[in-house]
Amino acid sequence: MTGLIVLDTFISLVFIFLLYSLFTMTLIESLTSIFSSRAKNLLAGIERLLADEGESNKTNHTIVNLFYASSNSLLTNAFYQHPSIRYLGPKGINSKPSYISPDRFSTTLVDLLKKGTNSNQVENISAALGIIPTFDLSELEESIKDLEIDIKELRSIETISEFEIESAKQELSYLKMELDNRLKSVNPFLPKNFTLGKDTKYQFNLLWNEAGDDIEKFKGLIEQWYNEQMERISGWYKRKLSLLTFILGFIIACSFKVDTIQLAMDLSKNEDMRAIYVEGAKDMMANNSNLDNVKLEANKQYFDEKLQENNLVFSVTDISFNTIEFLNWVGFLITAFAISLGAPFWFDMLSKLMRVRNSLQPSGSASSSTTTSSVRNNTKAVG
Amino acid sequence: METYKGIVTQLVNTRIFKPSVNAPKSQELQIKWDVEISHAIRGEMYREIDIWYVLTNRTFVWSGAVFTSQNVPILSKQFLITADDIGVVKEIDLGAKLALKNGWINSIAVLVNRKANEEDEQLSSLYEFLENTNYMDSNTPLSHSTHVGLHYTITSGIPVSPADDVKSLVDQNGFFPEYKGLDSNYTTEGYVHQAMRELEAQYSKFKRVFKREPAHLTSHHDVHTFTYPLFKSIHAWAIHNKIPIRSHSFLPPLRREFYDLGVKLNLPSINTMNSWATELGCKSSAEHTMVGHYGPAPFLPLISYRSVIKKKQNTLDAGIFDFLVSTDQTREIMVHIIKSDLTKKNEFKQFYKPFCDAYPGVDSRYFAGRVAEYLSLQTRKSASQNTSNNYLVAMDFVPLDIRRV
Repeated sequence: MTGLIVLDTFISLVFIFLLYSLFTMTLIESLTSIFSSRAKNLLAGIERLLADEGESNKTNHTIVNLFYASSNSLLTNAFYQHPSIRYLGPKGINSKPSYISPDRFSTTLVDLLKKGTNSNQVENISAALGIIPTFDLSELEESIKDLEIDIKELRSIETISEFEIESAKQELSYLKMELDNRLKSVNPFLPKNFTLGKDTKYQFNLLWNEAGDDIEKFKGLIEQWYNEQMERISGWYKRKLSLLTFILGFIIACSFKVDTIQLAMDLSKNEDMRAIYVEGAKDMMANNSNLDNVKLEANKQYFDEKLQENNLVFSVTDISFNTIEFLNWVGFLITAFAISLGAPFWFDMLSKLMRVRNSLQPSGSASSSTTTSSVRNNTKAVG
Repeated sequence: METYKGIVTQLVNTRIFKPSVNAPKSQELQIKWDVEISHAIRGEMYREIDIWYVLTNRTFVWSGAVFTSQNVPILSKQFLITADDIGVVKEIDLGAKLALKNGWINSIAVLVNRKANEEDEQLSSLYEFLENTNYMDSNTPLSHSTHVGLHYTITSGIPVSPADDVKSLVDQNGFFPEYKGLDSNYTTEGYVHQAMRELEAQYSKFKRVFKREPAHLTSHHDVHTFTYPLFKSIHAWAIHNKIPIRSHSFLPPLRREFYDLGVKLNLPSINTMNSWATELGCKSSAEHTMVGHYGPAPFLPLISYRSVIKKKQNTLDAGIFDFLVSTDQTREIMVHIIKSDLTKKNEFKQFYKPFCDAYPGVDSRYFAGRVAEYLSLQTRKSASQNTSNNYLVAMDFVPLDIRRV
């Protein structure tokens, strides 16, 4: 022992936090993987881009989003129904993709907007953004009927030239072809009378005006917009995970009775206990250069063995649920908060503290140990 | 060809097929990149600028995003889209009329040698049509926007001249021989003299019917390119009368070989004709004539109209793209069309047998290909409204001065 009780107590606590953080992290990774939380968070982010405030689902912006996500926005739903997005995810309950590249996002979105009954893609986008009216197919159907009647009448006129009849027939075939083409380009993913939300439309209009009818540029601007949003989406995810870690940390702290205050007091009094933790931390730091190598199971096994030797139970304070006091709750909360900081944080902290501890190790202690060792060696030699 | 250096000032895409912001993208040019400009053309108006640079890598870039201190020439582009063999078959004329009215073509090459009673009626109705029908939805009569040219022939039908004046050129029934009947006699002075007399007769008749000079001169089966004396005399005549003549330089090699096998003559090569043209100082109706979408030949089956139509449209697209990126300012696209409900080669052969007997020299087995060509233009119009380029519609066409007689 160094004799630095405060430092060793602190190292022991950090070490315990690290182990619990690792445990919580493993738990959260399993949960987020089972529930496809990243995909759900992405849906929330895309819905935020494509839906007005009123259309947006509020639960998508809470911690619930890590386990459940839905959207009321027609455009968002149409976006996810589009084959280029739908087949990105696995088949089953959690079928939504957890990552969509900016290029795919913009291409899909433009594909949704450029479909319609107007005569070309540029006009369809303009119509979707409310710049020009949507073409009414019934007008075209009416014209076809009228022209068919006209042709019948023309045929009954004897003096009519063949050119005029053929011209009218030609016109009729155009109109039919036109109707056919427009019907083919009707958007299969959005309902007939779909209109964009006011705010969404405004945002798209800004981008479309900047693109100046250039669809490629429009795509580029959408990509840029999406990239900016992606940074935020990833921030939202981190925040949701932190909150979940805190909640899980609190549950774990209560379940295992990991009261930081109580632990700190026990550690400060119990030198054996401190020694075990410090030795454990030392071993861990010596054997693992980074966090990826830290095996929770291995460490837990080590402590179980060591602590049983010392009649202690791993990281559990001697608190009875019947006698929990306010201070115990505060201790649990501190533990939960510590766990929510994450294993990387505690690993980093532990490595720093171990360096400090090594630098503070009294030289006497080191030399006495050398002496003891040399005496032992000499004894052996003599014997 | 001189090129011009430019520097990209805004992030911009290069485009292929047509100078338009919604044409397929080729490459993204970053700011400060150097580009090599071949020339400039007018394209889609974008942010109040409709000038597009054609880069030396055959792509288009909007000029607003490229700075150059040099004076890049803006080349005007004019298409002459000519339907050949007008004036003898009612359905061919109908196809041409519809194509002119809808703006798919802007030029016709007229054969003026059908029998007197019929021809006058057919040709005069064509004249009336051009005078009384407006171009698309405009108020301009087609006669003002259409190049009407003379399609000179000594290989189909009957002479316009009195039979005695051209008796060397016709068979015992008074018909011109098919092109296969041409032999070395057509290099002799007597034959050439009669051929020129017939040209004068057809020219006079053309002026009488259409009340104007021909806008261009072409010949059926390109017969004017068969021998040097014919080539020289007809070109000299065209130069004298200031009538542009279709360039021989782009005659389809396969068709040329086909003719070469048929005639009892050694047809001159393109290079030989080039040297003759240089010697004579000929002026062509266009810098380039595009003939690649013609056919299929009578001996080849037309199995799928859909694929033939698509192929013809692709050929046209490729030709138009090639024209836009080239420094040519005029290009002629030769089309052969017919408006008919028949589709099979045998049906055409049967239906037009009486016509072929009365007017030998027009092969009705080509008519299936003409139907496909007509449909390729018809369906292309609708296609152009939606997506692809609309350069085929003669939007850039500036009519030549119509020289009234």
